[in-house]
Amino acid sequence: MKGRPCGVFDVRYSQDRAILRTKTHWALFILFLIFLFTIPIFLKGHLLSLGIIIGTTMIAMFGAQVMVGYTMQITLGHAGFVGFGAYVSALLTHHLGWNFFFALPMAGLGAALYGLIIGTSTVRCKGLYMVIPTISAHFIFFYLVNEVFKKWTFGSEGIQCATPVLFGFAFNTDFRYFYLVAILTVIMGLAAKNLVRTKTGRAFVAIRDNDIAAEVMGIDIYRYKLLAFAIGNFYAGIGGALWAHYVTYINTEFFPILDTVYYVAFLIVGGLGSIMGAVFAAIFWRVLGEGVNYVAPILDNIMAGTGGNIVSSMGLITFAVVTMLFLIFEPRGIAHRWELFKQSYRLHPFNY
Amino acid sequence: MQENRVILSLEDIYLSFGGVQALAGVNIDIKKDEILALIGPNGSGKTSILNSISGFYRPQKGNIYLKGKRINNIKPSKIAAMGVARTFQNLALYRGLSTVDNILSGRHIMMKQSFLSGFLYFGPALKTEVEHRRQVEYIMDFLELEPYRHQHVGVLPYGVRKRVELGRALAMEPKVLLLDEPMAGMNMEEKEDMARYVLDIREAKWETVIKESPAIVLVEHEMDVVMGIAERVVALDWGKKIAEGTPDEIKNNQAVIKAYLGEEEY
Ligand SMILES: Nc1ncnc2c1ncn2[C@@H]1O[C@H](COP(=O)(O)OP(=O)(O)OP(=O)(O)O)[C@@H](O)[C@H]1O
Ligand SMILES: [Mg+2]
Repeated sequence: MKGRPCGVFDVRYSQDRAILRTKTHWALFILFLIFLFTIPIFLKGHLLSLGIIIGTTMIAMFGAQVMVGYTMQITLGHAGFVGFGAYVSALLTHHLGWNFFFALPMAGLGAALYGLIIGTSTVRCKGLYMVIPTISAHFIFFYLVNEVFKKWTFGSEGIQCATPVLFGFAFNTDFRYFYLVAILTVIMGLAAKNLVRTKTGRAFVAIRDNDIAAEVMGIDIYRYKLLAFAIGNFYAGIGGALWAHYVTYINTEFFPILDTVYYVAFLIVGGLGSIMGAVFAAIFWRVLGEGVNYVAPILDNIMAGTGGNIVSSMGLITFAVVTMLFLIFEPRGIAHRWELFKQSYRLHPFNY
Repeated sequence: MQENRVILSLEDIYLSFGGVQALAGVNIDIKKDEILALIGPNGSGKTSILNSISGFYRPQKGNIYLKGKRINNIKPSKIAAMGVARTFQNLALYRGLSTVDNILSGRHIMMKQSFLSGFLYFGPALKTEVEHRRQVEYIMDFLELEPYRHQHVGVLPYGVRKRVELGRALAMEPKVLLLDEPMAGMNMEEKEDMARYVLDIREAKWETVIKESPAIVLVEHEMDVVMGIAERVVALDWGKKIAEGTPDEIKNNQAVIKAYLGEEEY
């Protein structure tokens, strides 16, 4: 249910649809932007780096949301598509000397194209049956990089990714890179939000909720499922390239099959079927991962004699437990809690 | 003269599922200015006829013509675009969307908006959203759905959901409207409301939205409802047409009485 702040009525349909409907909304949004863009001033070192990773993950997560949350195309190849985009941009900048800012959209388009190719076989499957063909996308990506195009990708040796430079300005510090990522994340998040609240997004949800009805009501379901696949992987490619040029060196080990599971698992934690859900998913995943990285060595010290097994397995266990807890206690994810919170605020001061 | 008025015609339709013969040689003509009722006992093939028209089922034999064009092998989404809209026997709304978005989704084929403009939102996308929203508001006004505008359809009462489904079909501005038991599971008052809506649709009491009223194919079990609104009735049994005529003729038709009584013997 969608409510409005007490006493606010919409005079025009466009107003009724707007994300920011009141002066308070605008004020909060501006405050948020100010907060976002001052983060690098009070977050330093490792935490700032975490912020950057959250941003690149979030962009890829928007894409996963479009596929999984909006059209119920359960993809288990997302890390592969993220990697695909990373490699497109790495190859273009490394071998052809392209500027990163030209290579970046190509990374998105390349991953989208790869998605379209894989998608033509997966759109005929529904829900869980998509898992196998999308997993294969991941392995095909490995195979392409480590075997077919080894001459250019240098296989497991990995490839260097140049620091982005725009009009002579190099994004060569975390401080600078943060702004690049923050701006792109906000833009791509808003674009995704816009997409899902217009015709295309309605068609996606229609297919997800009742594909038979959707088709009989005039929605070309193959076309729209493919479109969701392409758009979702476009986001994956952009997120991947942005990440690759931050860490400046990649090989396929940076795109483990497990990440692919985490994209879907944390979408459940964040909340399926909303852009906010993807935001929460990315933050939760990376912050939790950071926490594990911090705690695991300490535990390892305390429980000496486990031979470092704690460090390697704690992430996996924690992530699995968290996902299960959410599935049991809040299957609609953090985003649902957020909605409830917003609603209680809307009715304020008459929140009975 | 007679011929021109036929908008949809089914010619000798055979449809089977494994050993089950759902339709066995059905011939029906639907005229563009009528409410045609399809009646018959459970499993007689009423829904199968609607599904065949929608392109969701593919008859093994026979022809279906819409405005003279054979549509047997056309994709369901294309058939919809040619002007066929419908409701479903078991509700088939999009649970994750609000009332207004469900009905807006019915305007999908009419919305000229690319996904690229959707990313931008402001500009062409917003313009088409607002333009089509206006039509949707007329429909919600007609079906008295305004109080539920922003509610997710999952939380609405059954009778209201049936109305939202009708609204979504109307939003397509159809030439042929297929209604599969729109009154099933409703109380008396809701049934009367629904009957009134169906009549109003036929009588074009909502010209703001649609210039031309659609032909209506109404699947209904209950004879008393059918008597009240249909101009012509086709009765089915075991996938065959057993009678055709005005409601009065059908009411007294021996074959129809037998089909219904036969059902009660079980
Ligand atoms: N998808 C299907 N698979 C197998 N059999 C089917 C299918 N659809 C319909 N049938 C069979 O075809 C016959 C006609 O079914 P249909 O749904 O058209 O009947 P109906 O007249 O709509 O009945 P009801 O009044 O119960 O809705 C039934 O015997 C049914 O079991
Ligand atoms: Mg039926």
